[in-house]
Amino acid sequence: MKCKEVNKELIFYTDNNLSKEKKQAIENHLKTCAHCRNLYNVFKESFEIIEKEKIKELDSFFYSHLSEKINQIENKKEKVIWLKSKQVYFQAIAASLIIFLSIYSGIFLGTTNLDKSANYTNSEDYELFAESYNLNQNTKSTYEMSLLEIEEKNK
Amino acid sequence: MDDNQLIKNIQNKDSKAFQTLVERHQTKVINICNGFVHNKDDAQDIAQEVFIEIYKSIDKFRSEAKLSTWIYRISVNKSLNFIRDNKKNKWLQSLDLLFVSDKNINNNSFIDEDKLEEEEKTKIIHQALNSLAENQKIAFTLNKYEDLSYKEISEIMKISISSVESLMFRAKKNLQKKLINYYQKK
Ligand SMILES: [Zn+2]
Repeated sequence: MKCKEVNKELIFYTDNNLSKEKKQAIENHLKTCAHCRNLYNVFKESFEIIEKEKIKELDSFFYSHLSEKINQIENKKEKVIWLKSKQVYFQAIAASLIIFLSIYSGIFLGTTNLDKSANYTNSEDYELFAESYNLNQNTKSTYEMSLLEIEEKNK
Repeated sequence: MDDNQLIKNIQNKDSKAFQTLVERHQTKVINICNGFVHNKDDAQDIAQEVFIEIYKSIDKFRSEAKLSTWIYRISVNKSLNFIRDNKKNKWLQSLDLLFVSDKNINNNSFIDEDKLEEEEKTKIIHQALNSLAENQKIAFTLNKYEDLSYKEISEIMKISISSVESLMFRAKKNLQKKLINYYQKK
């Protein structure tokens, strides 16, 4: 095998991807060629560097750090939910307050009206009631009529 | 407890089950993220985002899919998004560099030659990986940073196994070319 051919296969040789025959041929070449041997060492070292970069043992801080971050996310979520539920809660209170007030004032107005018309049964009280609502004010014509009646009586 | 039972328990707000899920998958997720961004702190941050996303969308998970497939797909997407966002910010960072005084640069009076050589080699392989087309990079990272089978990768990427094989082949070819170019120039 010539150097040029070997150079084309060296990385596959290093990574153990070659057939037995090819592997053997390159091995024989490397025994006699320092130049290709140097290159082979470059590939070998490169794969070793990758191998060294890998972590193998479990880092217990990784999970504690992670769960802290997740708690922060969860707290934010809870806050949003809490604020939203608070919003809903206040809206509910406001709505029920309005409903309560309108019902209550409706009943109050209704009952006072009823009170006024129902309780003034005798005429004296009715006069008071009528006065308060201006029900007894004479129209001009009835007032004139009564004047005429007085005049006629005087005759 | 198998994954399906685990998901049911998490969906029922069992926080212990969620912890089990995280502990079962966290190193794999961090390794995948690190395979894309090559920075341990960034990889941790992205992995945290991955699990937050899982926590938020666990109700949407359908058990026809494999849990790990779903988790790794989210990991790939979050990592790629991180790289894209970083690229957007790069011109701002380069602007920042213009204003950084050079007093920090010559700070290392004791240079460890071996360490420097190792750092240099690490940088070279990372650069070579970053230069790969996105699909090649995804396949290569899943296979080399988390030892996933081509079948698993095909499920995560939603492509056929033979497509994964071809992506892996091209990824290695390209890496070989880049590394030979770099070390032969030296
Ligand atoms: Zn040679």
